[in-house]
Amino acid sequence: MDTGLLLLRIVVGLLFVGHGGLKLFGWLGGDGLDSTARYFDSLGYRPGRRYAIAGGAIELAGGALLALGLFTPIAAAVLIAMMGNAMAVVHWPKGLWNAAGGVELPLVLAAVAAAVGFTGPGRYSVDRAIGWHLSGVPLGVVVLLVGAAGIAGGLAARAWATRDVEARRAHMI
Amino acid sequence: MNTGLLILRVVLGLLLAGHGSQKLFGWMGGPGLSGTAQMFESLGFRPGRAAAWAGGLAEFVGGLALALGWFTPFAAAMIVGMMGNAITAVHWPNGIWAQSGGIEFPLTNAAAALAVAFIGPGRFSVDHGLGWHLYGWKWGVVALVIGAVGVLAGMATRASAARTGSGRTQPTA
Repeated sequence: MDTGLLLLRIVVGLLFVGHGGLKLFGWLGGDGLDSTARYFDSLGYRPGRRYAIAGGAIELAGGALLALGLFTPIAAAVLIAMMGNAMAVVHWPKGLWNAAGGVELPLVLAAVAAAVGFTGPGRYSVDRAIGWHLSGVPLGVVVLLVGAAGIAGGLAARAWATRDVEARRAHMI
Repeated sequence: MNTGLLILRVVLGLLLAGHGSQKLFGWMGGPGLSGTAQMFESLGFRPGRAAAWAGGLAEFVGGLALALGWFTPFAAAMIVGMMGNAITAVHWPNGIWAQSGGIEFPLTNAAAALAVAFIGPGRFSVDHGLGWHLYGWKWGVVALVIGAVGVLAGMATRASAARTGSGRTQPTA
């Protein structure tokens, strides 16, 4: 039980840390912040720089916390929010399968985060070492709800920014 | 705990079963058995048709069994074996990240499946309904070892195909 959760947290957590590093610092052949900011801008998350920092920080910090098993429910919730935005905006139009850039990978990552939100991080975690036993169905449901609120918040902010630009464009015409 | 495992098993298991059905039956835009056999043959898994059956069944049966929580460590072993072969034969040269076809996605799948073998499928599973307790350290290691044997078998097959393949290109006197 605890070994499996440790394995799951470390693999998925470190992959998230890597993605955050790609976005923020251009680690491991990543784009870095300027390029990520332009990309987020083109996706409608405006101003792109602010969302690039937010998205990168969520992945970097959320991934590190998940790997450590520290503030595990918070880590799970913000990672669900991030993956939900990625799925809705980037991957959804590309279908299901990962080979074509579909929702598969962010869906599995979100499912892992949600699962750890319910199970808790297990014995080999900082949360447990400092005496927090954060697990169970009510907490898992809270994690899912906070994650869903984060998805809705991100999409609403994006819709607002896009609408603002389009309204201005219409006014100019 | 049990709810989290159910989420993880169902999401991961059904996605993998979907991949298997693409390979075996050509469902959901997949290549079907002939297309998969050709692809596997070109990767050095020979004979390609037998390899396509093995790979497709590992994903289809392993994925469904994981989703059901039935023979869970063996389902995990099939998935670990299949994902290990995908990593070594396809994704390894492409680096880590999924965006460029790296190992990220098969690695996540393998880690999640193996984690379930250690943790167990939870209460909402066929194994639990049948009163089977196929989890914990011992069963996690069993899944890992069987999966590793599958990966080694695949690598050996490809190595021998590479030898005979290069022999075939030699002009015969």
